[in-house]
Amino acid sequence: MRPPHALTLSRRTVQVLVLLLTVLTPVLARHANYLSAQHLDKAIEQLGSSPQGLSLRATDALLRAVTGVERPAAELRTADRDALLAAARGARGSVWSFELFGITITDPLAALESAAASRTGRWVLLSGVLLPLLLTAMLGRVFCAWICPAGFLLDLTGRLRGLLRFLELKPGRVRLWSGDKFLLLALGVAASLVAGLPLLGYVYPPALVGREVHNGLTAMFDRAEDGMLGFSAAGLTIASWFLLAVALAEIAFGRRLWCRALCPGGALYSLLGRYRLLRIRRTPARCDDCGDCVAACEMGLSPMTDRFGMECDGCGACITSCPTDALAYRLGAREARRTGEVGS
Amino acid sequence: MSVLRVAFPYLLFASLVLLVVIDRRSGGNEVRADGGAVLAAPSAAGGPRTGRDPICAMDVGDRLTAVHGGERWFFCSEKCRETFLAAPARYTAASCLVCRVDEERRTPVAAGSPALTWQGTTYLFCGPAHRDRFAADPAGYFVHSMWGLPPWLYAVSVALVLVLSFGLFEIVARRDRGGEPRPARIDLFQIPGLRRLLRHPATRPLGQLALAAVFVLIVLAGLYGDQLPSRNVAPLLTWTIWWGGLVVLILFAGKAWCYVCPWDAIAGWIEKVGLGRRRSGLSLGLSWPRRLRNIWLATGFFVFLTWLELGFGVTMNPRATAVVALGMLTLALVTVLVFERRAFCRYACLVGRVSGLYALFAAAEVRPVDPGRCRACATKDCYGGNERGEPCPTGLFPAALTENTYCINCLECVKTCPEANMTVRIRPWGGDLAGEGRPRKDEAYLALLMLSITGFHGLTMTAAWRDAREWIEDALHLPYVPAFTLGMAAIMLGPLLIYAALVKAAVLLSRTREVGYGKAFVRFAYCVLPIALFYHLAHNLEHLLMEGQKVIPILSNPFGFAPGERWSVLGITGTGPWNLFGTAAWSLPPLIDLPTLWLLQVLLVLVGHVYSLWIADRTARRLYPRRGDAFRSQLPMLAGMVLFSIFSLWLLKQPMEMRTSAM
Amino acid sequence: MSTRARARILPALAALALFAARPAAHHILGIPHYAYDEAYPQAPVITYSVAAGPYVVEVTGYPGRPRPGERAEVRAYVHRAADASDVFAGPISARIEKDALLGPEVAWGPAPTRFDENLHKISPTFAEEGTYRIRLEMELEGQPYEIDFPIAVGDPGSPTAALLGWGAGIVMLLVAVRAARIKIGRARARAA
Repeated sequence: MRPPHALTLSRRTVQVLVLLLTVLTPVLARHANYLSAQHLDKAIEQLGSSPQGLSLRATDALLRAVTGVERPAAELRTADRDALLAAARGARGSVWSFELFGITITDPLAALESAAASRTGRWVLLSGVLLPLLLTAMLGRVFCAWICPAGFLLDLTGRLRGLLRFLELKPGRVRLWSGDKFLLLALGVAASLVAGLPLLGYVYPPALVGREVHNGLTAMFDRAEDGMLGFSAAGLTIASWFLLAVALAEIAFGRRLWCRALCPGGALYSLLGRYRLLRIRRTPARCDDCGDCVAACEMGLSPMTDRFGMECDGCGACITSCPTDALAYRLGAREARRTGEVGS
Repeated sequence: MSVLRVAFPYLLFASLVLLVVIDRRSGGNEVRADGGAVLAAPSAAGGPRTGRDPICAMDVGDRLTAVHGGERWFFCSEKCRETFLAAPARYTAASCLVCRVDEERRTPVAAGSPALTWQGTTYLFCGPAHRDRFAADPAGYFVHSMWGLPPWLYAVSVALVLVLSFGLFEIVARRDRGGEPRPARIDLFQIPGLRRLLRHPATRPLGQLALAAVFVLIVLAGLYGDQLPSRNVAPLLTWTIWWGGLVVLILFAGKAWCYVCPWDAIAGWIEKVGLGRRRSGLSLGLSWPRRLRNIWLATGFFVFLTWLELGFGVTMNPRATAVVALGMLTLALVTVLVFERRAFCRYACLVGRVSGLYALFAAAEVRPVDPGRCRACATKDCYGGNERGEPCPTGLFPAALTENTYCINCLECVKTCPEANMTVRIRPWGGDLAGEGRPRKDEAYLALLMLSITGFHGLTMTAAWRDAREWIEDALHLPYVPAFTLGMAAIMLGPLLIYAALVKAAVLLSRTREVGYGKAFVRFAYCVLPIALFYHLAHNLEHLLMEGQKVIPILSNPFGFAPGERWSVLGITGTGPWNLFGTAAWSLPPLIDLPTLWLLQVLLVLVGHVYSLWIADRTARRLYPRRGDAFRSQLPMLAGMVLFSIFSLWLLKQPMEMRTSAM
Repeated sequence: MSTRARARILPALAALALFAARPAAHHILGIPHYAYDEAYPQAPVITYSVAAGPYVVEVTGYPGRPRPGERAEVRAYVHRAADASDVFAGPISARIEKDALLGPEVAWGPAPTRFDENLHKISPTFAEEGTYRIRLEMELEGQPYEIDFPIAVGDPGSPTAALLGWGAGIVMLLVAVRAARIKIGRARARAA
């Protein structure tokens, strides 16, 4: 077996880090809660070695490593507590809208939708989207491949397509019109504008993942305080059914089907990254037309014939799959001229 | 004559409906009890149409009422009203519920007595001990008791059984019919469009889809809903409407249930999931083990389910009802995934096998129109299937179908037959039982067990059974479950032994050695089916007509959510009760009054009795070619049937403890 | 493939779903919502007080919601309503019933309780999650009394986990059957 390509490795690392951060923020909030209520030592003791207790301990260790505070929780001085609190409140939110060390990073869809729903433009919305806008304008739709936690989870559940193949049940390859997502985006924004409610957040998987993780962990800690440390399905919501349906569609109907054809956030990123500066380009001279890249592309594009368009999320799967190293990230605002068609 | 025989079931049914309608339309009968003086008075206009009987705690209509102390009181029967009028003050005063139910005495309570509010109503108790006892199991205090047949009706019906038995026996025995009567059948496909409708590929799935939705509702309501049986739709829909209604359905439409059965449907859909155009399905398709190619497994499930149902009160427990329903689905699913065709339906499904035996009697059948054409057929698509339909799911050869037992009315053969030679017909009752048949030992035992189980079913609702069980517990120092099991085993074996003795007597009396004991045992067993079926019907009619109407309010709030309750069903959350159809607050009287119900029950027991006699006669004639032998061999059977019919009537005479009580 | 044409309906459907979706309530951060207990570290205690004739029975369970395998302390303090120091010292027997799918089943007892420092005590350890009833039987001034003390162990509430488990079992069965079928098919192909 070949060792994973450095590109794959770095992408997975970023995805794992984002997911960890998504899980970490609710625990951090919980930690800050206990800390400000001067209850941290008791909470850690009470929760013991349950998953809740362990995660609280791990978070505590992390915060101490960051701040250098060494005193045990029961003997914290005010300055120590303030330092820990500041660190614990250093990361808040989810990919829908993060606040990392005082910097706000808001999903452009969240900003657009909030602006539409409230019919105002606010500085906080604009400042939050600056970084994502900049990144997308330069790199394209990389959020979907590198950051989106739902995309990462879909990558993982998509592995079950292998199980279907093992069972000799051919996984489906449904192709939906990729323009559907723009329609959905336009409809959603218009509906937000009319209804005065942010609505797209309820069908936008990364936002849902963040919210569900947050609600689920909060419920777990709430229950743990009542002495219930086990798993419970009480946190199940309509949103989790929706995510499950998207995951099942991923397994049964096609890879990244949602992202390709239906995701309103993906639509927005596609539009924003239309004239990106960094693109994957093919060197026709080295290409032996084997088609491996076409099979590898989870967005259903055709790198072999230079069909990237605005859908390319820069995941690099085609680069790593290419046996002749004909594909690479290159600078350049324009799409390469198509030099070939898929044979027959 | 043959037209009359075909029409008889419908005439009977029409007269029952007429009886119910007349009963519902007849005016009320009200008496006035003012200071002890009882005056007959016309029905009061206005006011509520339903109320709670103060004696037996049943919700009833305003057919029988009395005015006392300026208030209107409702009664189920003359008996309750007389009891009330004898000492109205005893019943109008509030009394301790626990004293009344547990100790059968009335302890008056006043405003200051210990109280407990449950489901929005405050109940007063004679003391805190009784309050706590109530608090431990509030639902248990709302089982109401229902009067059985009055003594005069019992006497008359027993007399009728005797007269009919011996009178009819005389007539039948004297008549000597030559050969089999010409089968009276009406082909339903003469109705224009019916064949096309039933051959359409979407017809059955649509019906199955509707039933599958009801199934999902029952499972979810049972698991997530209020666990009080009178507020939850699962027990009522399952045990009163479905299980009670199933008997009526079998009588008229045979195995029509299997046509829409949600267990088979869901299992089949899962087996076919995601396969698109491929026809093979997911099943392993093993052949069913040779040793299990009989219905002992289904018989075992039937006894086990009865044991669960009556021993643990599954009928009163929504969650257990849901679990039993899911358990059946699991069985169906595992079988369909591992074995070929529908082995579950054919060998293991207790509902299918029980209704299969009953359907021998049913007034409908799926048969080839012209068996001659089937013999000439080269493709035999009805067995093997083709592009229009599945192969016969129960592995029958439809072209040679002579009995309803193993047919699941899926109508695939109607679809596959290239000659359009398969049809649905109506026929007189007892169609398959009157003919030669293919008697089998396993079927014979199931038939006999069905007889004893239906009897046992009724028996468990009487006080006599409770006394007997407690006697076993005391005498053998056994806890509840073993005592119940022992009692059940004894009562199930009793009729079997009696039947065995009667068959022995029949064989001896026939004075011929041509027919052995084993053959006679199997042959005569089928004669008990009509008696069992009609007693089953008489018993379930009580549930269906007295409680069935409650489904209308409960369906509006199937989970029984209470006001202000925060509920969560599979991630869907909300607060407060539902009112889906706006009927949640309706209070409906039973479809029928007790006195009319009694008449109906007696009528049904008599009808079953007569059919059993008729079939016993035919069986005996087939077994014994000489008339004298046949006549004598029937005598013990006749005695047995009279015995059981009188036992059924006695059961109907007992006060019944009904399940979902009025809330 | 004609899915393309059909695909245009999807956004409309998704938009419908969008309106059907409802926001989930957010937990308000920053406000500690648990109660402080003087007798910390104690999990919440469950108490039940009931009048039984001239007596008052006070039953206390600690912890209020024991975990499976955790030893619980159940104590009954039975005294005259008029005088809290007049304690009933007679025998009390206890029995624990578990709410099962098919009605209650006796999980422990009946057995007499320990009488210690004016309290009638039992210390049950519940092996399984579930809802239980501890039934105390006593005779006060010639009258028999049964006091039922409900106690939940772990979190037995929702059947969702069981339902999901059932679904997972079915899926595993499907996978196993399919795999077996492929294996059998290959064996047959080799044999042929």
